[in-house]
Amino acid sequence: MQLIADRVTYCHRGQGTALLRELSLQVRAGDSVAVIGPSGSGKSTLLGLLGGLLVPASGEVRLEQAAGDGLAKHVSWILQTVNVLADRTVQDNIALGAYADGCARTESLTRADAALDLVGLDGRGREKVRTLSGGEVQRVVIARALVSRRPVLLADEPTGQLDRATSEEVVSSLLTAAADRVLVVVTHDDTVAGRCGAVYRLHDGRLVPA
Amino acid sequence: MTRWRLSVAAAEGARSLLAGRWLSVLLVALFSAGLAAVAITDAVQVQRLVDDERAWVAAGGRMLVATNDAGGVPAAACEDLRNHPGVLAAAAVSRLDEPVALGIAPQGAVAAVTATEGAAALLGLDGFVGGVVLPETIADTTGLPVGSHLLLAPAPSTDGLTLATPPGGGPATGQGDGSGAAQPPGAQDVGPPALLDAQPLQVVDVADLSLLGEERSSGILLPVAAAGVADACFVNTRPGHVDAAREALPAMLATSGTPAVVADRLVGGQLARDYAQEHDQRASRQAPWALAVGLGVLWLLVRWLRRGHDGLYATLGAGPTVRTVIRMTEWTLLVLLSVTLAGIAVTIASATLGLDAAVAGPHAARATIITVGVATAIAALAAAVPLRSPLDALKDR
Repeated sequence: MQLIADRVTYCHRGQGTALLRELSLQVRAGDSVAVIGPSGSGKSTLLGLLGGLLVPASGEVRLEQAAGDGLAKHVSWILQTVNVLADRTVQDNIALGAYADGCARTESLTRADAALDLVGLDGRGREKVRTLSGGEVQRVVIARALVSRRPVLLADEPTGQLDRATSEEVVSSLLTAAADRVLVVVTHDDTVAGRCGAVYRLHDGRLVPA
Repeated sequence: MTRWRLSVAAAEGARSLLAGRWLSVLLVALFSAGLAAVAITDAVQVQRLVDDERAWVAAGGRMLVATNDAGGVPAAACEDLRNHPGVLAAAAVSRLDEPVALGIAPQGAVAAVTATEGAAALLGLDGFVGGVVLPETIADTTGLPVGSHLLLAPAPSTDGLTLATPPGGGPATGQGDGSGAAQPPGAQDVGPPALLDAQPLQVVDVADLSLLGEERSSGILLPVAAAGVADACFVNTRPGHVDAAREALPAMLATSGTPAVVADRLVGGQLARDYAQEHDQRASRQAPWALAVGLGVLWLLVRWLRRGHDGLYATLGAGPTVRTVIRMTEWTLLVLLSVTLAGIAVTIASATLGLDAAVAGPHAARATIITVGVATAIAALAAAVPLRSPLDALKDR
């Protein structure tokens, strides 16, 4: 399985200048790619295109050898913003990833319990997410991506709000989760980028090896 | 399978409401308080109108009085009006020129009024053929209770009177003297005066006779058969039939080719309050619409505050249909809870305020249906508005 961006160009609505220009990228399952670059360079926009949430002005993004249509349905997200339901339990939040695969409630909770152990939150499934630390919340998000079993993991600044030690733990969890999947990480953190298999810099609307 | 199950989406909506805790409690409190306030306010306003109208009707609001200077109105034609579909009750009524004396006070004299059988329905009596009805003033003065008997004696100048008997009791007929007016051709002669003191009469009821007008309300009411002519014909119409009756009665109660004169029982009857119009134009009638918009906008605000949740669901593969199911399930449960609480509040308030269930119930139901229906339409429209971009929605939290 392979995620391919083929000469993708993207302009924000109402802006004449292209943010991304004929950008190309290929990532195979089991590979991890980091994208770095200054703020406003279009890193998050690139992730939105790779995940099928944004539509390119030209070029295409496709997932080869994926069954079914709709790129977005093959993607799990780990975003910079705290995208959890804070009033719900850890277990409920993780189970959301299994709902996305069409699982029923019972199976989803079973998957969620299994994922808790993988991210070091074993026994904390009943706690409300609002009571967790920032690092623990990101682990909840990673666990949710794990239970979804979708072949593409896209992470936008997954350690942006974490201290160094916690960041190391989260990245380890993320790389473990992505062992057999396509992983693309957008980050400012060179340490995080350094742990990925390949690192690209987004410069002037194109990707160049860092 | 790569899509959310709708049953899971519905359960997610329910859990979202439960997880909302204080916000959910606040919304349910606001919704139920609004629903109850609108329903109770409208029910109270309508109840006042209904009470006013009932009092107006009881005082003769839909009653017409026909007279005829050409010799009175025909009693039989008047009594026959009872069979007309637009007529609730009709009776021919006359005030005797001469007073009668009570057996227990032979030196005294009281006024006497005769009425045909229809007077029972007109005055709300169980029936009075074969007895007399005392006005409250005479009952209080004499102390005669219902069921007692009294003997009436003709006053010295009373021409005479023949009392009607109960159904099957004989051929007795009688009439008043038409308030002194000349009898029309064919009218029956007044009967012999001896009957008045020939038999004791039972007091069958004590009633307020003010419907019959000031000059007749203080007299003892005596039943007479529907024959000859009477002073006046009192006609109580059904709602919506007053105008038609007002037009038809002059010809129906004509005497010797002279049409009857028809007047409203209450002075200014035609200028009286229009209860139907007041009902349609009451201020509280529009309140459910305003409340519905208010609740809908409140829900839009909540949805805006939670727009990040929609973005999150979208990144988890929940399409527009699934997200709509989640939101509308949450909304539906919120509304059901609120309607239940509002229903309890309305029931308690109705009992406390003494509202008529037949009045309060339908109006509370109408207010609830409008409010919930319109607010739900707004909520559904809000749920159908496309998400601009899940990424933007998430970052905008």
